[in-house]
Amino acid sequence: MARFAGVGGRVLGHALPGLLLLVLAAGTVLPLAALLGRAFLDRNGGFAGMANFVRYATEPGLAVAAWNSVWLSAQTTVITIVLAYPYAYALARSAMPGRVAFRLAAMLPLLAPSLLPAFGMIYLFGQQGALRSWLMGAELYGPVGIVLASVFHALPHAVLLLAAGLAAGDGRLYEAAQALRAGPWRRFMTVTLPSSRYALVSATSVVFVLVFTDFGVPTVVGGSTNVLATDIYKLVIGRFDFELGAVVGVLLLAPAVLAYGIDALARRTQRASLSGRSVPIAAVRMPVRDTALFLFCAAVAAAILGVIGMAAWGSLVRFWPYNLTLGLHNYARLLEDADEFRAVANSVVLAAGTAAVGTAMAALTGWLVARRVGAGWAQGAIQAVAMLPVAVPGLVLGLGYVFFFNNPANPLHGLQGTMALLVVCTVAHFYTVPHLMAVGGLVRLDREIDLAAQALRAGPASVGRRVYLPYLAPVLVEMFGYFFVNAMTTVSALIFLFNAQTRVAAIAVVNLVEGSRFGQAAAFAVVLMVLSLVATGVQLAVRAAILRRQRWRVR
Amino acid sequence: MQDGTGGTTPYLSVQGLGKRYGAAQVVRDVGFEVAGGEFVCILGPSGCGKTTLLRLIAGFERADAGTIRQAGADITALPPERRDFGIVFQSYALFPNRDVAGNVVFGLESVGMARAARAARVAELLALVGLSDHARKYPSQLSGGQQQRVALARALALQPGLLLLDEPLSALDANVRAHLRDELRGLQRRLGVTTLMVTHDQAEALSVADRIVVMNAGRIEQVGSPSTLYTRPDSLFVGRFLGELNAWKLAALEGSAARIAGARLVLADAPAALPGEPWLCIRPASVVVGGEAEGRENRLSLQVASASFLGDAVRLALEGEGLRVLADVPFARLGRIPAVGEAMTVALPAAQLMVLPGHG
Repeated sequence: MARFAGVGGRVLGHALPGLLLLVLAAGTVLPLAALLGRAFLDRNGGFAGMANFVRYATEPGLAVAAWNSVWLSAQTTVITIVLAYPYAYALARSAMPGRVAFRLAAMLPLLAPSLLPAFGMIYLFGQQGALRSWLMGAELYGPVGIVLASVFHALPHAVLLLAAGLAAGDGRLYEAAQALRAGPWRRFMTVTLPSSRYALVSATSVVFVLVFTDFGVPTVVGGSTNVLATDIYKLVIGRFDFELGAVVGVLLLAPAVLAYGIDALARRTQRASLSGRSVPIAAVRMPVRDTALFLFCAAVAAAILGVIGMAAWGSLVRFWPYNLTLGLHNYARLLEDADEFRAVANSVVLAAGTAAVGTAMAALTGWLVARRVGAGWAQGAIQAVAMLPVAVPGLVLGLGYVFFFNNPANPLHGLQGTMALLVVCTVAHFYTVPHLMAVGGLVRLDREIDLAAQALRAGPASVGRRVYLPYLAPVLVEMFGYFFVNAMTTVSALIFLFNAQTRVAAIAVVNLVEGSRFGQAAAFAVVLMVLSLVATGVQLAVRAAILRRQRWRVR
Repeated sequence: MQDGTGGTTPYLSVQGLGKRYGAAQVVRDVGFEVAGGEFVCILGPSGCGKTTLLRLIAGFERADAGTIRQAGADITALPPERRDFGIVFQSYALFPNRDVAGNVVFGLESVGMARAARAARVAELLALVGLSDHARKYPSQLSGGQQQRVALARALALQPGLLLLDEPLSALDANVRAHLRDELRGLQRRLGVTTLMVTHDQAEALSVADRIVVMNAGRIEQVGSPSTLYTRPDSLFVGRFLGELNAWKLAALEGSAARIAGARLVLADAPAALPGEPWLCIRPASVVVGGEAEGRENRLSLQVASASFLGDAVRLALEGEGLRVLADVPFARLGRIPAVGEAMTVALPAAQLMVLPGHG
């Protein structure tokens, strides 16, 4: 544990972690507390007990949304995992050709708001959709549309988690099983499946929570089917019923908290079963299996590209479905209309601001936690608060911000309605993953490095500049890219916070959908995706350039 | 417990030092002195508190009790960066993003040395550790032994009054280790820097140290020169830790004779009263076997239970008369490896027998 002396030491030991903790808490814990409090208060601020929950359960038409959310999320989760597992298996374990391309195809939906696959659904299966007959008379708008579009939205997350889990298996187990005369199927059932149990649990809970709390898909293809994520918006924005909004917020939070607990539990058992001396698995060529997996992956990838391609096509069509001439007029509108152009500019400002502030903060908190800098209480508290956002749906966080920052008694009240608040909210919303990236990057560095630097009379700032910064540089670029892309495509947390001046492009898409201007909405979504693609490309190029320059890294 | 350091003021003096982590008292009432230019090893099994002691002296940990004085000044409360020491870690802790010269120059940059002076000093240090040709290589391109030398050069860069070494050789292969051990010792002699090295390897401590501080369970067991500790340990623990030892629980003392199991052995002189239970001990190399044993005191007739060839010597395990005796016999003297079951005469010379306190 690093121990620092003098005034600088006290600043590092208590003031810096204390300040970071305060900022983090103001961005996460306090708004959440405000939301939870509001669910148990009446309109006049008096304690209401469970009265708001009773009102929610008894008012006709409301509780059914909770059931819809659970049921549709469950169906989506099953379908997504069934598709994602063989896809991830093929990426991680098979020797089929084109694995890199298939991985990229599966990641593509991550770069766009969840509204984009929903548009694709409309163009494919809507009233005038190209493949309308495939639904065999079923109505797209409603449960069918929500499940279909959500599968596309959730698939990349499931594939990423499962592929990572499957790639981390222990090769020695397969050699042992083979030596014990187990055939391929028995090896799969006795080694592969059990060893990917944690990834399965994790992917299942992540997909469920993602779909359960997603706002974009049901807004576009939900039709008259109400779900919690759309209800919370209607209750707060349409009816100004903040108490019921808070109740729905609590309901939205529930499965996320549950999933977080399950995940933590599964992670603990997994750690016990993985030994430190495992041997990486080499992909084995099995022609029959690989061919089957290739065909399966090709079909899934084609569907993903088809859905996104349809949305892109829709953005180029003049007036779907009546005038199908192609052109860039939907894009031209973005440039001509000052409001809409501002939305795109705002998105870039939000993404850049979030990425800059978020990366700097997460690097600091990651450093404090990974290198055990400063007071012990602060390290534990920072780690706990940094882990919180991953369990908090954006809609819930956003509504918490409304309650917390709209309160005139709050000294931070002045932030309300500013772009700064949107940045704070987005940083908080996506904080967990970059924080963990920084921790992961820095714990790998020898613990005694800090002591060595101290013995050589280097202060913490000097070690930071001369050792940590170069060491962490590629990770910082990844963190920046993660914040940037997510800020670009997020809708949920911001839907409660924006105003005419701060409206971002992803919100503009929602507004255009509400006005049934699908072509323009699709154009917006495509612009966001292209910007995210460019950002990702730049991120990869910068990272590669850094790695090339840092000849000291072991290759 | 303490050896005097010749009356002059010691360079480093530790008194009554204590450190606890929660309920565990890791270092308790530790005191010893190091003279200027001396090479002292802190030796003990893992978990005995030796690394914590080093970290207390470096200032990475704050002592709960006691004082540390260096060059006459009380440094107990000083933070590491205001103390005067260089340190080499077990893992070397080289900065991976800096090349050899970059690592060595790190401390010189910290104290703001001028560029030209820095370059000269780095060249001098690299020459000292024999790495002049590798200045532009990164740690990942170096062998373990080379990394160790870089760490040493880096620790010496600021010309510290005290060099601290935390198991600096334990990560290396046996051959490299023996070689670097001698080199380290030579370098220390040449520079005359006061050195404190933590190790769990008794052979390493015996071969490099001027004096050894043996620790066990947070306490100092004994301080002394390698030969003193080896030939005249104060306790069964020290005796066993410094090398293979025959130890039999003493059944009874009859003046200057000792009774163990079925045998009665004469001692050179009657032992003083001991704090713990008394054990009769002798080093395997002091046991006399075969023809040379004839006519000596404390003769036993034993059978060979096992014989292992160690190269220059043969280690025999001999049994009989209720005893098991280990004996290291030069191979040249035996000329062959005795067969299991073979009868042999064994003598335990009275002058080599020790009565030591211990706890089994």
